[in-house]
Amino acid sequence: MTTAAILVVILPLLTAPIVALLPPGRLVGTAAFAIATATAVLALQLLAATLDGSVVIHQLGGWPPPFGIVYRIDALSAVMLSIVSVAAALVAWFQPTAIVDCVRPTDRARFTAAFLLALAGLNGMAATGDLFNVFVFLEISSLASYILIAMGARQDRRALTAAYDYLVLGAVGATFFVIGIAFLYMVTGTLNMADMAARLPGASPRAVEVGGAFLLVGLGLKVAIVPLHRWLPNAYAYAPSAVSTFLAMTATKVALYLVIRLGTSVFGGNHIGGIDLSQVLPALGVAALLFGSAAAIAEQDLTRLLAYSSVANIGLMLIAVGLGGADGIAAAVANLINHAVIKGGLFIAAAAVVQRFGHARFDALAGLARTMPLVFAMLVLGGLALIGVPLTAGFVSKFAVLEIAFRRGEIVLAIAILLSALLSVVYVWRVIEAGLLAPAPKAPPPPPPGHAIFQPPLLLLALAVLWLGVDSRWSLGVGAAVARSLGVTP
Amino acid sequence: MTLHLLAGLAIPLVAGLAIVGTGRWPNLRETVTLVAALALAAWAALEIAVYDPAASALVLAEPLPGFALRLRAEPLGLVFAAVASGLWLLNSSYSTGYMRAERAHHQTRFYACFAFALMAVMGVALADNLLTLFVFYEMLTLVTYPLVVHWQTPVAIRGARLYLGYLLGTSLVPFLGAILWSWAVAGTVDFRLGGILGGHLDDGAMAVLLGLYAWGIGKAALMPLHGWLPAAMVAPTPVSALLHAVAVVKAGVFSLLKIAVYVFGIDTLAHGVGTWLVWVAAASVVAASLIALTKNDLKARLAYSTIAQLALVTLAVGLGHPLAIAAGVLQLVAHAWGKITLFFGAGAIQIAAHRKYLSELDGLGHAMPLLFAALLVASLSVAGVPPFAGFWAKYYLLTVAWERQDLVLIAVLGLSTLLTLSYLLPIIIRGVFGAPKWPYHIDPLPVSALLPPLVTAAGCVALFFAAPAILAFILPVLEGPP
Amino acid sequence: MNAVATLLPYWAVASLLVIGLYITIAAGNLVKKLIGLGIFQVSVFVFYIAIGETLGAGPPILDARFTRYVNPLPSVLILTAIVVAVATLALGLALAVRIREAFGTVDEAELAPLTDSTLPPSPDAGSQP
Repeated sequence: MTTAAILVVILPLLTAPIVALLPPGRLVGTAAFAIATATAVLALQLLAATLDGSVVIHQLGGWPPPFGIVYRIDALSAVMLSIVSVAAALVAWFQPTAIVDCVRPTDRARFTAAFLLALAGLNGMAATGDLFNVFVFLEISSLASYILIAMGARQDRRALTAAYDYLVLGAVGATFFVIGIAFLYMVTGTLNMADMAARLPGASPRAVEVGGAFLLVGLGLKVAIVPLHRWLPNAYAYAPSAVSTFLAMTATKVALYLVIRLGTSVFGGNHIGGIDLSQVLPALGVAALLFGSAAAIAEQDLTRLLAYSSVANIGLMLIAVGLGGADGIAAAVANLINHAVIKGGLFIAAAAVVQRFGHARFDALAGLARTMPLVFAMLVLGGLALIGVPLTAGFVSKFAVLEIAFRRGEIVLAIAILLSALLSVVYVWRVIEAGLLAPAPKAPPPPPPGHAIFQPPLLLLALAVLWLGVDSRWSLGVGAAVARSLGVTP
Repeated sequence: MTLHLLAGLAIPLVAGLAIVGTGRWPNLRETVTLVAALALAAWAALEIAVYDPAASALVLAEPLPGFALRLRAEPLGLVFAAVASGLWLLNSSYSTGYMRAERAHHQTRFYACFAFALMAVMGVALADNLLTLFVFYEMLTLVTYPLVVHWQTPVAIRGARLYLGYLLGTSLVPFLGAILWSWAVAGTVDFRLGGILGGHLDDGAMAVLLGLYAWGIGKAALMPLHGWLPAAMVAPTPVSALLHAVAVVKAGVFSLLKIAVYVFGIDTLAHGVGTWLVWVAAASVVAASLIALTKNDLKARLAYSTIAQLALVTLAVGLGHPLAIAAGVLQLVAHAWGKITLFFGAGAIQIAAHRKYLSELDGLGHAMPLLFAALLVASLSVAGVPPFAGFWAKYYLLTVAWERQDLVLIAVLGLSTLLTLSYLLPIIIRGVFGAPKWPYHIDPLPVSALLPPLVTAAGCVALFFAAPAILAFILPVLEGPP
Repeated sequence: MNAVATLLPYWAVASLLVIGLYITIAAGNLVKKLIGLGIFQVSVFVFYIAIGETLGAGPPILDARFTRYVNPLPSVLILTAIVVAVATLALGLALAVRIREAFGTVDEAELAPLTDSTLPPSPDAGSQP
């Protein structure tokens, strides 16, 4: 089992260069799918092994901490690894078809290699127990994402500027993060997170405060907390659809994982440095929730609409993290899982639309209920979940957070969450009206070859949205297990 | 075991799926609808016959810990289920005639959504806690959206947007907020006889919570959140009948009644918590009636009439008196039968004579005598004239008002009856005594569209005599916990 | 005097950091922005080296001449960060080149109307086969 802790990272990392050298053809996609699936199986095994509160530790090179780097998988890490790896497997399944129009055949091997590197980087961030290692993996995943986003240029040249903007902001965020690490290292003399947690109470509070602030701002850029979200809509909208699907399911969530990790196991007490997350995050979350939903209303493009909706959903997760406590963390984890499933389904639906019509602006959605019923069904179901209609995963997400807010007497917070549903009704209904009521084009382009490949992941995620909505025992149970293993007091 | 409750959901669900499957063969598709409606009505009758107060609840699922989806048969719900399923049968028969006469498109979607709507209604009727009620309430909004937007014209799209915006908006903010608040103070969302809130909140907070429910349940169309109801009139007439008489608004007032009885408790409401609601509802009754007087479009007139008549149920809830709750239930039943007759009539006039305005009806009564007789019966019943079904509700409300020595309330109730007569009777008066201004071209009315209004009109008479039986059935609920 | 000498690297770090960040935000030219980013990142390199430095200490090798050693770990760490920064800069410059090919400009003000989100998609001619 301890080998699995490192395999989830080095399997995609070491196979990426090999995949890059493969000859163009079917083999590349098959190899990527096999690697991602193997990683997902390992991650799920780790999840099964850690839900009871046990921790899987792998010491790199056999060096014990704090001298060596350890990979430390607890329930929280395992949840993140599972989300990322399963998302990667789903995307790897349909990506060979989805990228036909935007990646030249000769580039496909290198594109796929970058995809595997992004997977390795994201998994590494979740797996490692060493703070500087987190930075390295953050940069690996980021560099890979910039490349992947820029590959959308053959469909829309704005992918280049989107990638450039993300690169500049991402680099600034990562540099802030590494400055924060320097301050903490300065006063604790260690980079191992468990070790650092033990030494922080005795460290100079000024340096800890400054370092914490740098860490939070750096992560804030990666989480896309409003107003640090500017890179996200363009990056998701102009990237190849397979890439936006993968990033939407994973990228911001791993950064949010780090916020939870720092707030619980490193600093503890829901603080990062001198910043009390329970003071800051709910307010930021409400701002994101309302701004993201309102911005989504104005969009004319399905992918951008979904991107802004992600900004809003991140707000809900921030509120859950900010509320803190065992139930807050449980709700946040359930939110991470539910949102990955919902947005994954929606983005795959958008990918199917892009594949057939070349873009996902609203005029492409006309008559979707007739031309692509399954895709439209996913859009309706996912949209209802975004609103928070009961019996969908989104209801569980929203209700779990609302329940805590009400129990703690945070009425303003609760009202803001309730009101955001109104905004989401408006943007979701624009999609539904476009698909249901606008007359279908006279001669819609026929489904391109291999189009059926989108159907298995769509069906799978649609069922998951319903299942997670009808029975939240699993998602909230995993959340509770994570809170227990982090030792968060109720 | 109480698995038989599941049949109430399963029959319309299976029917809806079967309708989708048989969409290519219209005759088969409509047979499926009729058979399912018959089965559902039979199921509801059976449930009432074998009703056992001690029967346990049926847990469908537990979406969140402590928040189960749970069904239970109880008198109020069974009465509502019986009304809705019985009227679905008549409405289905009417729809077949109407939709074919109108040569409507998307008929499969129409019948399937109708069946799904009935499933949601049954869920609302059988809900055993606030969460279950909320789930099926939302489901009802969503599955009726395609029905409202059926014609897909710009007007229909706008009307459907209002419909959806009002209903989702009110339910997702005040209603859900009220449910969570109730849960936060009472520690449970279960329906219990005598209420769960008693003693947990002071009267002021309780009044605010009642307000959140009264307006949060947007389907009850309490003014000023009534705008969706006239807007939704763009739907085909059978849908309007469904919205008004069978499912949507009835689900709204029914939810209010259920929450009054099982969440607040009649006793809690009785000492002053609901007084403000009585006056808001009374104002709603008078205002909606006055607006109805000004409407020339038949369906718009009926829509405002519905708002006024429903406000009477809300008023009954505010009074918080066992007799008033009884009046609310009887009003729900009687108005369903009366209003569906009126809508059937309006739709029949439209498909046979192609008229939709009051000012065009002159002399039409001679061409369609049976239909106008049915309309007369229904009008009198809705107004509350004996010996028709609507009488009892008005009578009990007056009794309560008399008991409270509340002269203003008595005046409002009297005025409501007068106003009802003055906005409904002109339809019949013009039809019978007006001189035709131009020759009518009257298409033959299909039997399937003529028979239902006659049956429901007869129902209005029969229910006058059946009211004591209904009262006896719901008596345990009114008496409160032993 | 000694205190100033000890803090001098940190003053340098703060100045470089602010200058770099300012250029990154304020410059209108995409290449200049990257230059700013480079300066910004260099400030971090200096910072890391400074926190490992001890005044009057020798290199961390076992030798009789040295009794106090500088901390080697930050220097090792920052080697990694330098590699990352170089890669980021290279990728950023490559993107700037591609943007120049696709839009004909690397000026933000000129790019803004060309990249407006309401425009219909226009493929990048340069990446066509």
